[in-house]
Amino acid sequence: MQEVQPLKITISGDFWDCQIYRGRLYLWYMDGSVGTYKWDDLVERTFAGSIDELVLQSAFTRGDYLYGNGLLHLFRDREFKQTLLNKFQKAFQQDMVIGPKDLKKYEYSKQENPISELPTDTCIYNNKLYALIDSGLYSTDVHSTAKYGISKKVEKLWDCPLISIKASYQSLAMAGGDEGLFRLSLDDHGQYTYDYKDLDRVDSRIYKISSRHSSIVDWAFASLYSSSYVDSGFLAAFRWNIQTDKKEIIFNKIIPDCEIFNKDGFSWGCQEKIYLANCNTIEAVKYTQSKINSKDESEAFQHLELINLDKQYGNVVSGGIAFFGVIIEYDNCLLVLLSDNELICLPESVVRWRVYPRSKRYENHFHIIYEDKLVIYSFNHDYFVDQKQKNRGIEYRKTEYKK
Amino acid sequence: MSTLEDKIIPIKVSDDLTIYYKLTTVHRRPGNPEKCIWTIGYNEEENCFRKAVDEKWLEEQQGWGLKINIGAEGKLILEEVGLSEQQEPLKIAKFRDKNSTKEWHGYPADYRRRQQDKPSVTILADWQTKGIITKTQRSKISQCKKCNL
Repeated sequence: MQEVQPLKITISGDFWDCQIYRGRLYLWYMDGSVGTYKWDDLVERTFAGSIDELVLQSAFTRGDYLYGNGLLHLFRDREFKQTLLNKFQKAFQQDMVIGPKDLKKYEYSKQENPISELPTDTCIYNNKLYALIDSGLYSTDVHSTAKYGISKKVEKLWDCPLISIKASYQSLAMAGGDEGLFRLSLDDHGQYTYDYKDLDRVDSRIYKISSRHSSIVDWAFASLYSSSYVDSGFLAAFRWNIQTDKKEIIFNKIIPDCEIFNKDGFSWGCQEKIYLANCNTIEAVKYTQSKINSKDESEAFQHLELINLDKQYGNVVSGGIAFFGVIIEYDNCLLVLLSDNELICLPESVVRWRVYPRSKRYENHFHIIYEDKLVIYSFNHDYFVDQKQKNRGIEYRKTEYKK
Repeated sequence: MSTLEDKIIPIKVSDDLTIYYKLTTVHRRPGNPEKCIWTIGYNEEENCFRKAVDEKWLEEQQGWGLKINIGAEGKLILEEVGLSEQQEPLKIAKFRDKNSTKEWHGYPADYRRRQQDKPSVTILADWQTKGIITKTQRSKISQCKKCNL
């Protein structure tokens, strides 16, 4: 039995997608509308009195509260830790449901989806929403004080039909299925310089990283990890040039997953962790970007553990990584390998799921959209886990990662 | 280039519109490593296209079709129409009128591997509205994920 059970909030409704960003929850409805909600107020006022304030805030509105080396010392104090665990345990026993009236009460705006169609994928970065639809990649402003949560002024950025996107380092990583993997510069202020001379330039801001099939993409520091639902995954290794005054990102090379794991399977990665699922085993590897150019390149990939699952969960569909653990989507369930080495299986096939490891305040959230509801899980065990030692989930580095 | 076995079938859409469906052998040759192949007969392929016409699943130059059976308690069951290059079962058909000549042809669609094979947002919405697929299945197809249809 886990020391800290995940808390969850259920919101009934017919949803297609969701995002959470800077205190606002964005919900895409199946009827073509998008709702923007004042998340912090919604949670803190709806459940005030029934859930301990510290637990409520650290679980749902300030996920960063309980991380940090200083607090680890406090958690070593048994009495302090037990008091906190008791508070979480008490909250776990509460049924937290947000009904339509509560949602309406904290609605910032509800509007027609300005990007015309239900998106294939979305991403919010630097107060901009990026959305993929059949006709390409679009962006628009969010989090302004304007009447609507999402600006109606939409810009088309590219006409390539893409599958998934992830933003970091003033760039948008873009998985384009059989079109390949791409990187779009969002660096309007010249924060970084780039050395992409070995890459194909698509236009002034877009580079093709690889022609290999790419279904989902995530960031591994300045590198990208591309996963494919039909082919092998690969690391697109980039590196920093620290010789220059400006931060320069240099493309290094493509490394297929078979060279990292010496076997086939579905692989996925984020920051320093890469995983490969093969039958009922999951292999974990630690990636060190700075060692890619060392004499022995294998030093860049350190084997961490081979996890044998106690049963077959079906075919692997997709995967993801958060601080709290590793997510594996199967045909009919979601499996979470938690950073404290426990395992949670959430039965039922899902419409969509999201984690927010790049977020400052919602990194412990796991959002799952089902046919008739959105369930927001909050995982809080990772505060008590030694970040340097964990094999399952991204290492929390307060200063480095939260740039 | 047409082969001896190619057959063009006129299909009356309305009083003043007739389109044509070309049955070809291109997607029926086992061992062709670059093609998805039909596992249904010519008649079923034609019926699949006719259903796509009737249901208005044809867009300007492309369309999608399904082979639907009705199971116990009226449950709609999607049948396999072909195999991928990797011999995986496929349940969606793709139709094309590439040159806008009103002469269509089709093949089993491998939406996970080829972006252009993925049914459009309008078609997926129609399939969900008609209860052929669930929202979960629609989302998985939209994201090019494996989906138990």
